[in-house]
Amino acid sequence: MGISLHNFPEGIAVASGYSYLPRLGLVIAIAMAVHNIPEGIAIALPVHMGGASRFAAFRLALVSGLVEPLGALVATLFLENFRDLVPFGLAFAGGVMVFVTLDELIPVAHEHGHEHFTSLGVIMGCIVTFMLLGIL
Amino acid sequence: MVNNLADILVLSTLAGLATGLGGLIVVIKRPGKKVLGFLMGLAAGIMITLSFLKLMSEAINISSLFLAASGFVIGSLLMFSLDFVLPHKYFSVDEKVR
Repeated sequence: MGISLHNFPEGIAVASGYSYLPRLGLVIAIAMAVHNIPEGIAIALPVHMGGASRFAAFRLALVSGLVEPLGALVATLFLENFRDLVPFGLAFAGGVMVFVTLDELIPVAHEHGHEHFTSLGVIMGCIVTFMLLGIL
Repeated sequence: MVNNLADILVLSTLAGLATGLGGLIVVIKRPGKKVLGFLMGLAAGIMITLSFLKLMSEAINISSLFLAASGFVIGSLLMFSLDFVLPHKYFSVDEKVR
């Protein structure tokens, strides 16, 4: 339940972006996809380490990812009726994702030890996003 | 409208499936803890940069700083209150498969 909830706002971000400008939705979706690959690993690996089977770990990551279109569906239907709230939806998704990243993702990453590798990852993630937004 | 909805669903499903791809990588080859720490940082860096650089900047551009700030704060407060309603840890070894 906890993990699945987290991909919901990503769907809201894609839907809000697309509702404003289809191209913006596309750019956000591509960046989300790039973000989701390491995230899928981060979801599946601890579960597998915890003793669950490989298949169970994979299934958890897959189900978690499929919550994303669910968030997009809800957001699209909502924004269809409240066009003025499109920028609110973008900012809302941003607030949720920044909070989850700082409150959960980075602290839990530190629990695994090797904080320096996490820091390098953060810098690399920023560079990747800058490049991605530069290309798109 | 129907077209928009279909496009949005396809885009978000493809983005979501990337999470499954990450899971598949674990099935094929289990990365070590250093790699895991790096990858979690990578995911974090992408998310924060994207949120501020794209989501927030666009939100401010097309509306106002006030509306964008309200959305951001309400989004974070909602997740914060969720921490109390349902105690949990994402991405943790303790998280049980449900």
